Amino acid sequence: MSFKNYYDILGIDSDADTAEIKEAFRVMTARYSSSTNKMDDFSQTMLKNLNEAVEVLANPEKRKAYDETRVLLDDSMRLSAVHQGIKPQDASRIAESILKHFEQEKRLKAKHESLLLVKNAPPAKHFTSVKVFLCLLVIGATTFYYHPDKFDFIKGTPEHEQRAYEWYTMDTTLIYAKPKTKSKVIHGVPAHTGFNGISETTFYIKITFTDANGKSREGFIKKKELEKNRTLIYPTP
Amino acid sequence: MKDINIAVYLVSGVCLLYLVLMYIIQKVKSSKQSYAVTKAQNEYNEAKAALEENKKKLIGLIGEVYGNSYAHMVSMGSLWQGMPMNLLMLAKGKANNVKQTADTNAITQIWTYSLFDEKSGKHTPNFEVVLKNGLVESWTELV
Repeated sequence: MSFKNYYDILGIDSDADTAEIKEAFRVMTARYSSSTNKMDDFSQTMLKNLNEAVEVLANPEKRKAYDETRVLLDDSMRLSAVHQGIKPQDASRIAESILKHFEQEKRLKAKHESLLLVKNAPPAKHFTSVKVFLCLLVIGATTFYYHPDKFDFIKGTPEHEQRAYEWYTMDTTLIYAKPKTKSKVIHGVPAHTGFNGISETTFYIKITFTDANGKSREGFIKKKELEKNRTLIYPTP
Repeated sequence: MKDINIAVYLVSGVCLLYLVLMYIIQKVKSSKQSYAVTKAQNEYNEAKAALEENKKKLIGLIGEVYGNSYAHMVSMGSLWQGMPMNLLMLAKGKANNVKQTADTNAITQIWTYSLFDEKSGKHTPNFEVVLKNGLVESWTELV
């Protein structure tokens, strides 16, 4: 720890009384507190030094110990000068420069600390994967609430669609009442509709279908309009 | 149906707006943080340069007063018998512990330098200097 000159920090003489110390503290504190960039490191350091100075100098016991140390330090430096055979003013110049050097070193340390503090500050966490997930969840839940039909894919293929049929229509196909070209058309089915043949002729397959009234009926479809399901595995008889 | 769609769009819009807002805030704060790091780094570099400059001047001053060989030894962190206390402070830094005894003839100080062990949280003394009347008398490397 470097020695600090509290009298210099407060801008007072070494014989100042307690009232002068407190007045100087008030004035200096106001100066650093009211600076435009009052929370910068320098102001903070100065305020800390001022607090430290007033705590020591306003307390008679602490002030006495501090003054003794100050004298001891001066004496050591003077003794150094005497034993080295150099002029007291040179010793004083060097002592001042060294103290200034240590003050600068301390300031550098403070700057380094503040740099580390800024560098190690936790990163902003406003846009997180959790928030994105929750938002998507809300959107999904709302959509599901209002449009459950859009989530049919979750349920999988309906049972009737899973069933394998023997025949499938290749396009929109007509169902005839009889296996004749000129017979009456009784129904129509869209492409890819599956059927199992009841019986078959050369050109027609007899099938059952459900008509518009929901009744199960029989009819005939032209073979050329059907596609045989070759993947179907027939049970062995 | 139209109302249903409006409700879905509204909820989706609010959610997306919220995410966009969070993203912007994140970007602004990150930029501010980067700026603060750059500023602190510049201030640190300036303070470091000023310190180096001042140390050069100080070594020059020591050279003028004590002689260049002593100034060189200080800059190298070397000690010598009769080295003044203030130069010791400059060469080796401030001691972690100073003990002082005084008799009628001299003031004796023992400066102990330590290494701080982060694991144990203790200072381990590794170098000791004995000063008499502010001048280095002897020094010992402690194991």
